[in-house]
Amino acid sequence: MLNNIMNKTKNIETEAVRLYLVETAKKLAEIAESKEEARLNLVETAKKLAEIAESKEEARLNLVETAKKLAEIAESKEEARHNLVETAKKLAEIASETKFNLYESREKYAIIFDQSPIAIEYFNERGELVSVNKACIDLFGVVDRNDVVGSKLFDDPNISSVIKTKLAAKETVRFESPFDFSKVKKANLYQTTKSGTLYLDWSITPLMLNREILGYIEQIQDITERVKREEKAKELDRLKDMFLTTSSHELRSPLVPIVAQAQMLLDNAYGVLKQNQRDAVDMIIRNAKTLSNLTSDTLDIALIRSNQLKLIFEKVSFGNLVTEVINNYKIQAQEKNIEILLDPLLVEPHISVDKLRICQVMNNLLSNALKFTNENGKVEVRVIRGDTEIVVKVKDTGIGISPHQQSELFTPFFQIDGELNRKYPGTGLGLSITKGIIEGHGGRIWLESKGLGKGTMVSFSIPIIN
Amino acid sequence: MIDIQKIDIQKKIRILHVDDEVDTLVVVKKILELEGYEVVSINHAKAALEHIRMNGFDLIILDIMMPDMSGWELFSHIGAIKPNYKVAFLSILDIAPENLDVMLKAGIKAYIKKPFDNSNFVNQINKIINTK
Repeated sequence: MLNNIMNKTKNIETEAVRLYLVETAKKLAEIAESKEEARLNLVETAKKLAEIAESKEEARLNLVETAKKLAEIAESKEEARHNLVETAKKLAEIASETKFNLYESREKYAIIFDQSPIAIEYFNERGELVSVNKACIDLFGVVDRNDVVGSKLFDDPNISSVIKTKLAAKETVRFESPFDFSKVKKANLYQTTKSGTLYLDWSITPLMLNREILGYIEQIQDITERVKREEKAKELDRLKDMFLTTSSHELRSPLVPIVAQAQMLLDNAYGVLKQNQRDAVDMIIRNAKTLSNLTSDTLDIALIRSNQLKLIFEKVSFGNLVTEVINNYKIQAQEKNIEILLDPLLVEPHISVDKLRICQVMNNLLSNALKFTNENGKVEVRVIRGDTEIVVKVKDTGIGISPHQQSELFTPFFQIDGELNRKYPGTGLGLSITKGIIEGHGGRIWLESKGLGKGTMVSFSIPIIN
Repeated sequence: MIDIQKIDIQKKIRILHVDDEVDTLVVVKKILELEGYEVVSINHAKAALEHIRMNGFDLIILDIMMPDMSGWELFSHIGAIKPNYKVAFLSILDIAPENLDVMLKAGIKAYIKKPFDNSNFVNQINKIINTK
């Protein structure tokens, strides 16, 4: 149609008409064009609508799904609610039961606290007394419990600054101290039925929770009886030592003129003695000397047992010292035809010892060896030098000693019993003094014997001190 | 040993012995007199002190344990009266080495232990007398 019109216009003469027509044609073309566009838009819109419709369906489906889920949730919520109700019921049951248990255990602990035989005081974290038990009330004779409640632990004069420091460091402290009730009365701290002084054992423990001090427990025990017993024992010990020391001196004093006068008799200071008179005076001197030795031994034991034995150290040739002592016993040995052997290797060394006391040790061991060795026997002395000590061994072929008596030999006043004691008299102090002297030198002493009739070997060691 | 004849010609050497045990005084007097000494024996420390004030002695022998005054105390009094007197102790007490040192430094001439051997005792006394 458009083409026809265009053709017709060529035939129209009037330019205006032609132009109008062209214009119209253009408009028509534009319209036609816009119609096409609108159509296309419509198509597009339809497509979109279709898409929307599709997505709505999806949304609907989603909604359905969600609704289903919500239904499910609603159902489970109901179950949860039911569970909650059930749990709450159970909790209520437990709570009432627990309350009962708590009540019961609190009662128990209160009874334990109150009836403990040890006095207990409980302080809060600020050190203020919260409660005391019955034993505590009794111990301090507290008349009114309220008098003591609230009193300050750290104001107690028994609590020294050292104790305070330890408590602050969360340590338990324990100490013993006398407690004077006259001070309580003087300072009017509380009314008490007690008087005098008690010796008390105090123990203070900080109570901890999560590393924080929750309070303090103070436990107090009356140790007055024990302390008094100990003091009495110490006093008795002191008296015993004093008695031994004094009596040893007192016993020895009369021996001085006895021995001196007897010696003067023997020296013919009062005229020439007949043989039987000399024998009598000899006996007096011999027994006076025995008595003198016995008192000296008793004094030595007293000194050793009270740790008062004083040693005078000097450098000596140990070999010479031993040889000298052995030489003193040569005659006595010959009388019983006993051979005394000295290991010839020892000449040196020089060591630091109390010469007189070591002589006393050697005298004791040699006289024992000779006393308990029968005729024609043998006594052997060996000195062995080690790196740090000297060991002396005195071995005899004598009567020996049974195993069960060996450990008791170094006990003061111990003597082999019965028959043997009568045959070989002595004080029973020699070996314990010897032990004391050796130990005073920092050495050891020991005894070996394979039994009765099989000889004895006593050994001692002396440390070499440069 | 002292020459008794010589001593007899000269003035006798005088020794004072102080001890609370009378028998010890008697026997010591006898032993020392046999050696030619003149011995004055006194059994009370305080009385001895009076004696020392009044008389002269060449040697004073003192016991240590005495009831009225210890020998050590008596020695200090003697030092105040007659500082140059020779003094020796004759005692039954064991003596600790440090105490012996103190005594010797204080001027004590000897510490003789009881019971003593007669001849040893005499030798020690002679030695003190003969030492200037």
